[in-house]
Amino acid sequence: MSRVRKIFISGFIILNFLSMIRVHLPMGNKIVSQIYQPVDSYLSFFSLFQSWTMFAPDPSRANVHLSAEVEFMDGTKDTYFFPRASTMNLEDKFAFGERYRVISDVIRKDQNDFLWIDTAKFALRKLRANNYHKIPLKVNLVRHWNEISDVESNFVPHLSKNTNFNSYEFFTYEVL
Amino acid sequence: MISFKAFLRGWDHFFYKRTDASALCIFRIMFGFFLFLNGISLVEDFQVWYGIGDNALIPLHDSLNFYSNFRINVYRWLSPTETSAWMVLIAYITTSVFVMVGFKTRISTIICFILMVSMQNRNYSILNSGDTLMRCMLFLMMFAPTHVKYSVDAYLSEKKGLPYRTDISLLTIRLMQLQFSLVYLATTLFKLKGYDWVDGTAVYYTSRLVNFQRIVLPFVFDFPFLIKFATWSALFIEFAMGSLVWIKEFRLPVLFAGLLLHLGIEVSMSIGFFEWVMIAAYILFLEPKEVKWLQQCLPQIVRRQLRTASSNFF
Repeated sequence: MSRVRKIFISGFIILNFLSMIRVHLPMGNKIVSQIYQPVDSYLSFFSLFQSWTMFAPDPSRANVHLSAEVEFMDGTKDTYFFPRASTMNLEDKFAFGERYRVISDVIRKDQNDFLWIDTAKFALRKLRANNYHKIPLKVNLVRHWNEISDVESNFVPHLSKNTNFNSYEFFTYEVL
Repeated sequence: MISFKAFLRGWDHFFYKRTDASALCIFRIMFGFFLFLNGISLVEDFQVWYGIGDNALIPLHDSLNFYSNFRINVYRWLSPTETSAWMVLIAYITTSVFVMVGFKTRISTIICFILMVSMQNRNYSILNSGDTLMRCMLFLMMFAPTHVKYSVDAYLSEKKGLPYRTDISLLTIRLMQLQFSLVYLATTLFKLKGYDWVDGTAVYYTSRLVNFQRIVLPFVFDFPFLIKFATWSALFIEFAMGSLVWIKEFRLPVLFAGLLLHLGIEVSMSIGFFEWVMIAAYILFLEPKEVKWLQQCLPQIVRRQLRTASSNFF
């Protein structure tokens, strides 16, 4: 291998090392951020950001799912439940259950409020077929959750189902 | 102290030593298969995740505004029609098959990467750790000579009387190994920041998250001491996969423990393709003679099992 080619390839290795370090270590320092500017552009262009924080630093202690309640002008209501991996069979869970788990987890967080209007509109469209003659007034997005009991104080047997959920309306989309 | 010359020699040896391409090419086949399965798994809800019309959860114009950074996204250049959205997925599935069989491998890998990244940028909110891992590995695979063995390219080239060299530089394998180790090391460090992994109760909570649950494992998650054992074992194996796997004497036992860990997680939990891609990547840590041994033994074992199964059946 020629020397020039080797130097070029070594540069590529170093760039990748730097980018791997960049995405894994917290670097709030302004000077370091400046130095890393070109690496950030490289990472952004190729979408090489990575985060390995699943179940870390601590696993979630809540089972969560979402629903959307639509209120119509005639006073009636209809509810759309977003698909839940926990209610799917094994094959469906493997094929697409994980995607619904992730998106529910993303939507429920306040930092992702930019997704809420689209989510509400989506639920509205899903319910349109059953309510085509009604005029919708608003859509309420609702989080449902139950806490996993503490291991020391109340050990829950594996696979026991807790069907009691708390609910909280976290967003209202005014249709009219 | 190490001299600069010795450092360069070490660097050279680590990254540029030549090795047999079998492990890399087998990885390509397995990885291509998971890329393909991933594409197929998106077909059912394609309209919801990537559609253009009313069925899309996040409309295309909104997604382009949310994630409007300087990044690869073919949806920016395509006309916003259902047909073009479908074409992206179909082209992704097709190129994943090409990667798997090794047809026009380099260009197929590059196109597959561009399409995968575009789809991921189209809807960032459905991505899991398996997607991230596949993206990072596929990026490195674009630079790897994955076509030199077990591929249509190699077959055609040999037919022409111009066979490929099958001893390759370790460079891209090393980068993939480093990427792989970093996943484990990073997750270990993040987990050590919390309480549940340190006090041995994390597996209790993860096993009670209903959206992840898959198959009932008797006993394992119902006794506090087994939960502690599972939690600390997982943590230690992940740490070992990020560190001890680089030490010759520990490599095989650590890989074996890692394999058991991933199979255990795959049986009990549903986390997309993450576990399978990790397991496939283990082959990159094997020495050529170990890969050869696997190639000789595995077909024999499978054949023997099939023969036994068929004789029992009839």
